[in-house]
Amino acid sequence: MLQLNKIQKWYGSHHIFSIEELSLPAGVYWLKGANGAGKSTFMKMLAGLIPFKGEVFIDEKISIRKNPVHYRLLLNHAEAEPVYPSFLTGNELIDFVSNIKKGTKEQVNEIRNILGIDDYLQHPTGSYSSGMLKKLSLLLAFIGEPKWILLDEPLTTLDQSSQKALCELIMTQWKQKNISFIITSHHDIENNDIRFDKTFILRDKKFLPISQSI
Amino acid sequence: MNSIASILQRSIAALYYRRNAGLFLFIFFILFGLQPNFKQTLEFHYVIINGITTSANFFFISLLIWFLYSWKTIHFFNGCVKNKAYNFLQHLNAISPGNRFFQLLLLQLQLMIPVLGYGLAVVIIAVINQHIAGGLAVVFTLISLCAFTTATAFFLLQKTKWEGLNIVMPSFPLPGNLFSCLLKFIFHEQFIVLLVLKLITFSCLYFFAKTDAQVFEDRMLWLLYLTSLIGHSILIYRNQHFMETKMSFYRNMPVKPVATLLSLLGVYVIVLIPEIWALKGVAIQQHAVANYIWMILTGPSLLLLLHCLLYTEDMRMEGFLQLLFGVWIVTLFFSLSSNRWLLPLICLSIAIFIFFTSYYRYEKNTAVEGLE
Repeated sequence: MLQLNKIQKWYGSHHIFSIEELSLPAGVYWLKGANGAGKSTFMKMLAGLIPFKGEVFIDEKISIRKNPVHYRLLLNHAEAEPVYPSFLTGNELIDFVSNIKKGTKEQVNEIRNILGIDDYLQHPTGSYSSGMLKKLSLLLAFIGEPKWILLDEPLTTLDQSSQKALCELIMTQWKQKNISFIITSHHDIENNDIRFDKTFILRDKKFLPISQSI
Repeated sequence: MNSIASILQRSIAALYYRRNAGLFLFIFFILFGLQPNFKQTLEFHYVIINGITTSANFFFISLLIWFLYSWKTIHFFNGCVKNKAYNFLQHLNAISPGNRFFQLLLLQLQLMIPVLGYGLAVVIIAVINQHIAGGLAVVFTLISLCAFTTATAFFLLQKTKWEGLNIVMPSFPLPGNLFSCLLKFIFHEQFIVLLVLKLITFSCLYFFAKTDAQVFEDRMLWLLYLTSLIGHSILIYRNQHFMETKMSFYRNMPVKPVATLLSLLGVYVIVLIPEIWALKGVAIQQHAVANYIWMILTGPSLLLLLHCLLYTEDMRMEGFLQLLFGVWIVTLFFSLSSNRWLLPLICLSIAIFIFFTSYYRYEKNTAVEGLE
């Protein structure tokens, strides 16, 4: 379970959103919102990339503030527009993240095959296209043993077959490993390959449930 | 000034000086701030200038420094051309080659102002002293450097995918962690700044540390050393910017803050190896082992403190320079006191305190031009 208490996010004097209390049981969630509504900010906030007011817990006891290392071990994140050091190769980044997130070679190879990541990983990321960078960021987000994975616009810049493979991977990880997901997307994926437990929308600086499909 | 020249001046030349303000201040201080008074400063430069126009060795050393500087300007231009935000520069390819070359020459002249200014002084002194051959050599060198840099910029504008200016550093296997990433960043992407900085600091410190302590008392050496350390601010600023932009994903990694702090400390120990080597004379020639040890300990501690200060708020270079000035003054006064042995401890303690209270609260707001 992911629990958010008294969350507030401001950029200077600009109020982005507030969440008084929200509990998300394990599941797959879709977060919608217009451009600039704060979806990426919300994801970055949960991932521990940016500061905010309030508290977030995983499984009721692992706090983002009091247990920052353990929390980050259980929550992975893939950015909407990933940026990496241009001189590092994909393989170096994978080693980097695997070392820290305790991922295995078998796990990396499995995800790599599913996402159809070719041999470009031996080249520096500075030479990658946006689609290649996206695939790399997705691969990195699946490394380790997280309980939650946050995917910010995961389908953007991916080709159709990769989109399908990613959707299948998400559902497999959820069903087999009980990994929960929060996904932001402008694509209409609800009725296709991913079955969402709940859809939310960020509107008027609030986090509102839209529907319950199960 | 026409519209093209104005845009190039505002988007490239102004940015170049803003980004390198710390380095220029440091070099300015080394060149003009170490002499006790203005008269001695003039005499010091008069000797150097005479050396350039009369001694082949001196001339080639200045040629090397000027070439390195020219290389830096080209490297900067190359970075701009490759930056998506500077795609508008491609419109320059639509104007006639002659006009394009002229516009780029105007730009290069602006970027080369420090070299051209000093070079002009060399030529004037050479003419006054009737060192015509030396003066002509300097004129020829400056014209060649301007032509070379302009022609390279002209070429780079047409070949945006050209990677020829990137220095290919020997690949060394390092474990995948922040420490190795930062080291690779410094050696791959900040190599020229590192080289210039180390050339200046190493030669100055080596000379002072080897000299008899009675000629230059150790307060002078501390002043020079602290200034050299503050001169590393450009590296530190870029390191922090690199960590918060290109390695923003690192904040989602389950790494203990103390490990991050130790990685930073380790990086700055490595960066300061040339200074540690240069200062050996303090222990060997001057027999001041304790002084040497405190200097060595102060180095990485102060650099770590400067890095941690960047976590207190998202600073632009101008703000950081103001802060640096304050740190420089405080550490300088401290180094003059008999309690200077406390300096590394104080720097380290403040760095640790700031890091642990600010790291998770820090948020990058400002996009620093040209560093993206």
